[in-house]
Amino acid sequence: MKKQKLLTLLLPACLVLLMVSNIYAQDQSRQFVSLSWYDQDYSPYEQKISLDLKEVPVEKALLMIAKKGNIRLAYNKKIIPVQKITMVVEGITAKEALEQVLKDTKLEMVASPNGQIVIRKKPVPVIFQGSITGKVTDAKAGEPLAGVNIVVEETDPILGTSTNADGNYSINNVPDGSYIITAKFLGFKTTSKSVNVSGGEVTVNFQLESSVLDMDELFVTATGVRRKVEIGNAISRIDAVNDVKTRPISDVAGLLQGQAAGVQIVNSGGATGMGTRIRIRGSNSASLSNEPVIYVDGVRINNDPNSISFETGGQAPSRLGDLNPENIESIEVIKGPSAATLYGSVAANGVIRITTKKGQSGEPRWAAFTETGIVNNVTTYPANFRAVDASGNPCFTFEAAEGTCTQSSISSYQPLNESVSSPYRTGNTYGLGLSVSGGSETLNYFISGNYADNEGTLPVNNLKKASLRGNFQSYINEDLKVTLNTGYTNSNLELPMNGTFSIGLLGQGLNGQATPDINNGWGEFTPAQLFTVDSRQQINRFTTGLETEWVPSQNLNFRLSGGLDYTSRWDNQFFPTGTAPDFLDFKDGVRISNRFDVFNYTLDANGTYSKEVSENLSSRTSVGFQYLQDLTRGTLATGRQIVAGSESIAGAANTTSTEQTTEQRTVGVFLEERLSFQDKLFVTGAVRADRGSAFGAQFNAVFYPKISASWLISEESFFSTGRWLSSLRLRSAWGESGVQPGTNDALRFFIPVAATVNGESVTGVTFGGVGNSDLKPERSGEFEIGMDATMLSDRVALEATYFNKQTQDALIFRQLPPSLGAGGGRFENLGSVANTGFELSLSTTVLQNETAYFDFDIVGSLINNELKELGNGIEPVIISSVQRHVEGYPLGGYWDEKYTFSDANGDGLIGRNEVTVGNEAVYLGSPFGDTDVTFTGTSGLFGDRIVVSALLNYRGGRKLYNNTNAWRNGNNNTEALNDPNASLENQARAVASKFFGTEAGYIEDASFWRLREVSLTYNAPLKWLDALGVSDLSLTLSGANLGLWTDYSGLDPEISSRGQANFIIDDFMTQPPVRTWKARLNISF
Amino acid sequence: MSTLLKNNNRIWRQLVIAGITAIVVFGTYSCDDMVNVTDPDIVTPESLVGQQGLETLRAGSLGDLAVAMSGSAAGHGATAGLITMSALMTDEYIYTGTFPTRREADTRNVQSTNGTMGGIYENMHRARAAAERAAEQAAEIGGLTSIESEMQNVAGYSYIMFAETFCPGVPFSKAPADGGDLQFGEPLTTEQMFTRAADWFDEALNSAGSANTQMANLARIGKARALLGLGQISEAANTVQSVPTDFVYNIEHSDNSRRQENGIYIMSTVRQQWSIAEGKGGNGLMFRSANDPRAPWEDNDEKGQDDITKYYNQLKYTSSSAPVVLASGIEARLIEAEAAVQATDNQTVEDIHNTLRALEGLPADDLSGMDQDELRAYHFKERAFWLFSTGHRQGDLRRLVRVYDKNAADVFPWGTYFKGGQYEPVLSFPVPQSEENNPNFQGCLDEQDT
Repeated sequence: MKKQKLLTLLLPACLVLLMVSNIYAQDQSRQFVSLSWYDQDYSPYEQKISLDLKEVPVEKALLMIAKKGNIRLAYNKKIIPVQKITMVVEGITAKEALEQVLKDTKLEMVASPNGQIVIRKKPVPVIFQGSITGKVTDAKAGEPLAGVNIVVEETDPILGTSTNADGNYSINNVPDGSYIITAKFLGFKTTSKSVNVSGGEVTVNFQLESSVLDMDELFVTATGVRRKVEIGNAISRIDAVNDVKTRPISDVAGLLQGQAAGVQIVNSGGATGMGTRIRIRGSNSASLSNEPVIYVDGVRINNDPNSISFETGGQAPSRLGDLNPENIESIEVIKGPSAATLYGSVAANGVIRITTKKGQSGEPRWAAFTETGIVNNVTTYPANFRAVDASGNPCFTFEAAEGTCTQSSISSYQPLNESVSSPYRTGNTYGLGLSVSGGSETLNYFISGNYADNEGTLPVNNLKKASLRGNFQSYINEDLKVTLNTGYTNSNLELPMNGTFSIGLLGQGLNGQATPDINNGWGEFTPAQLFTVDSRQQINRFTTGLETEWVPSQNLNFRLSGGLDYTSRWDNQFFPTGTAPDFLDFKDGVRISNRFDVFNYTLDANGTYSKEVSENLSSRTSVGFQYLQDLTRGTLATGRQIVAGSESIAGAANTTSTEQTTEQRTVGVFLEERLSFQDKLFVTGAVRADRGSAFGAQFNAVFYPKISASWLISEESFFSTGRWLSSLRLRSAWGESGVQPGTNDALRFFIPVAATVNGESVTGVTFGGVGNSDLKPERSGEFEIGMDATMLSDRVALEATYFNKQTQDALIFRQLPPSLGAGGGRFENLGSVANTGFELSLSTTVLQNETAYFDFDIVGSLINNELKELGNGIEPVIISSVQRHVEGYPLGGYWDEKYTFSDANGDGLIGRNEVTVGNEAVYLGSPFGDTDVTFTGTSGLFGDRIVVSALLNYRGGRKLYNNTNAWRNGNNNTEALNDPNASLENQARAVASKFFGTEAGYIEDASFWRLREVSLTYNAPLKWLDALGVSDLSLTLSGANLGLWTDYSGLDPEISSRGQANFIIDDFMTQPPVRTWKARLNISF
Repeated sequence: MSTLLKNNNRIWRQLVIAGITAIVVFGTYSCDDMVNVTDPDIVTPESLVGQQGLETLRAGSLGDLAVAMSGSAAGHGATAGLITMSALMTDEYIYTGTFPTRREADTRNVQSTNGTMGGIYENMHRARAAAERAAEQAAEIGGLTSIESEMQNVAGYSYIMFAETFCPGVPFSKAPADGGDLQFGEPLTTEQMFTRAADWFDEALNSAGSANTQMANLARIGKARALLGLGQISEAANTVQSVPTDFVYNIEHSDNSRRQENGIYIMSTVRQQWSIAEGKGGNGLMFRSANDPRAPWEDNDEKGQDDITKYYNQLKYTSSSAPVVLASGIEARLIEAEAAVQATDNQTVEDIHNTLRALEGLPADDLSGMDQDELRAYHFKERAFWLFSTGHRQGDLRRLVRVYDKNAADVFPWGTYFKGGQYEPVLSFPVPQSEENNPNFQGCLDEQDT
């Protein structure tokens, strides 16, 4: 009934509209008359004129004809083509002249009754029309592809649409005729098909093959979205959607592992929730952070490494780990200063831009997954040894060698390895997630929720994480888009007492007994005692960004975005009264409750004006402004002597508290100009100016310039392409960016402390820092040159880049002599650091047919890091007992005195007199290495029914300080000090360390091969999908850390006791990487 | 809907234009303000002016001295102080923990890279520099003689501690609080360090005048300690004549913050890493079997932190807020007794010691038949018990070698180390490697100099 009423109301309205439309059409027909039949009555039109036009725009030619022929012309400037013409004629009519000008255009001329000549588009002839429909799927995975652009060529206007969430498309009102229809989608080869339309519906389906190298791939830059072909730098892009389904991924760092050349992901240990160190093209700074900055949907986020405030023995999370990889669409890695210039004084270490998933127009599309897995410790720990003489007194190998004692018995035991005493368990992991996306012409949405429960290999190592995301894009109209991206994460990380902590678990085992008869083989404390301690970190994190993009014309656009990444962090450690380990005052009850609020604000505004300067040259000018603010406020409280049964500081007999505040602000403006020549050669120049809160009082602003060029040389007429070489792009860039110092580095200041005078607590100060009023940001300049090529009929894609990065004004933490009594030192812009290297990405399709395919990719880099200059009068900076910054050598290199040994008396034992130690410390190697190569093989069988992939990683040219062994040696329980069967090399390094103070023997080659990942995915066949009523169903079995090949004798060549510390790296009782197995079910409907 | 969209369109356009305009205007005219931040957690030198600022500097300096001398509970593994670390070099304590850097001191094999020692060296210089800075400011203000004298005393004692425990070659540098250029010091010999200390005590005495006897007595004992180090024994005795026996000046501690806690108590009773020694290295005193109330201890039948070595807990400091004596009238009497030993005045030595022993209810000793060597040995044993765990013992043992020509092998713990290996013949701490950043650095001026 309602519908009838509505129709009744609408019917008259429709009739009125039809009438108006008809009247308007009649009026139009009377107003203009085609010159083809009207020209006889229009005398000025026949006036003879002469023209001498050379290379003038069409519009100028029209105006000249009108002037000479005394004709009144009317036209819309927008429809006049920009091309130039030449016309040298004499004695032709104005009509003939106009016809010549308009001959190759889609314009025609008509005359109005008042004598005016109107230039207009030729009307489209009334013809029969049909429609084209179809579906686009991934040729390998068979999954529908949403958002694929479908274009029907040679129609006027060009007809096109994009696929919906189910991969379907439909184009209506296609005039009858033969056409080429093309499907374009990022990451896939552009595919075209012929189609005949004759009034009805035609179905054209596409199965798109992934592209090994796509020059039209879009990247988000500081000035907006740009095509890859325009960018003169090497930028890596990781499409995360499929990776999280088929790889054993648990965090963002895992997504990046082995995927981008020059990007090194270094895990700091195997405990669940541990952070990761990221280095892009080496270490730039001797003193400041070398971590890249990270943006999520345009909002700079908190990426603090070692983000924990109480003692965990070096086990620390990184805030990057808060991000949920399930919500990520893609990750772009902007590698060096030449690419990151417009990101200013925060970007010298590179920029990682993360884009989360967005909705697509169409019906709601649901996606869900559930996964479960196990984690296991796979390390065998060295035994504790104890050798005694006949009286039961210790008798070490060096003493036996020197004849001061005779060994009578040797015992050994390691409680970590024995099932009766080992604390390790098989950890279980669970995860599930649900998302829905869809939208209309005015609003797209993506909403997801995920939950993960990950157990570590120790009973008190767990991570529970829940996350929500809602991304909304509203198209207010065709030139105005508003995007709101919001994510929320809640996590609860529980960490064991381990690592460098005095009563860490591994320490209790590795410095334990040589027999199970004493304390079950443990040192001072057993695992059960240690596990009473509750150490946890709770995170509530909210990241939101609002972006408005306004495109008032085809040539002009503005973008205004602002965002906040807020992290609420609660570090909470509790030693329960009475049951905590009897160490320090822990048994009396200690509670540490440290709360932090971290605010990262981002405000960006930029505008871009594009102009077709000529047919061959276009220009795009961008200007922008950026404001960044990082603010951390912390309140730290500790209570001691807690009431039994209580966890509250409120009841503590002794309480202490303090505050921490850090704030940094940066303001920058930039200008960028890009010139494009025939859409083949792109030259970009830019400059950014920054002011920062951490600059010294004597320093105002810093300017960072850049210039880059990209040449798609294979598109040039002189370049011959073929099967062997399909496309070739040459690119090069030079640019600068920086890193600003810390908040108070420029200041001379004191730190407030409590003091006791005459029995009363009073306020005091202690010297905080010497400061440097001339301080300015570090300035890193980089030159890179490279090429991108596709070969062998697009089966091979090669990207190769050489870079040379020089950091000038490097902030050197000038270690001041302690005799100043003024703290450790201060930053000075003294140094110079060089990173040179070569990056290679090779993607190959070795085999591809209807039943199987095999892709093999290599991603690798060779990077040479060198501290070029420390500054006049600056002694090598000693950063740990074995690591230094020394001119001419890699930053953070290992240094110590070398030694030689000889078993002079041939007794198989090394005494102190058989070891000779050098006089000065020499360079022994770098913990960062110079070679990182990842091999990835992916094979599909039975079409894409079964997909198998593996990721093998080699890292070479690196050393690691086996401090675990050195420390145990200091505690006399190593094999080398007790077992006469220990190798002479081991005995010698033990003696050299213990008595001559050199750790050179424990600086070991830590090169390794690691089978990081293997996965097997089964994609359900179409009939299953139809039967179940779902669009996608797959099951993946995957494993991580499945094999290790190395000569390193410590716990693992890839651990660090200092978490994600900038340079200090050693193997010191850190939980080595664990082995993970996971099964995951993905379903979409 | 159309109207709504049009309105929205207009509103959004206006918002975008307004936003960009505001940013440009704000950014252009307020750039300085936008990047101007203040940190509430720090104190700038301009804030520390006048008497109130000086009081704050003074309190900080005393806190720095406490950390340097006693250590504290702050930091990973807590913070060892000079008293505990130097005690390992002597016969007061044995190390029952697992920290290799601390064990190096127990075997007197301290490397220049030893982080624990480097921290103590830095903390002691921090205390000295803070005291010198406060003394300077007090002098500029004028009229605050008590604080001025106290700070000069603290500076003097820091020189004393360097001279007694470190090898010759320690430089003393300066970072002016007003932002002036850094001044890198030249390495000083042991004698120069003692002399510089004596100079500071002279200034402290002068500042104290006759009105402030507390500061004056502190200065007298400090100067006498310096004179002992210089071998001017009788002059030292003369200096402390007027100091009453009940005088005491404490390094204060509190459990109000980890930094203020008594590090000796933390390292021993709490962490069980410093165990009271017994005949260490053959030459060591029998601190346990003597059962002397001046060096009290207990046996709880526990192992040390290394879970291997039997642990004997000191009871001189029984809480984290227990004070540590920096100087006392008892020390003044002991200095007088040492001068009497030098004069082989057995009766005076006996009188002084028996008077002091009576304070603790200890029986009198008969020293009448002792020769000078025996008398000196007795005297130094008494000093060791009176001044147990106060940072005097290493200076005393070195003085026996430097001033009284005793053989180090007869004085220091020697021979086989109880955990394997040998005691090294080195008697002092090296200048840390971190001091190499001083352009005047020379390391230990004489490796053989004790």
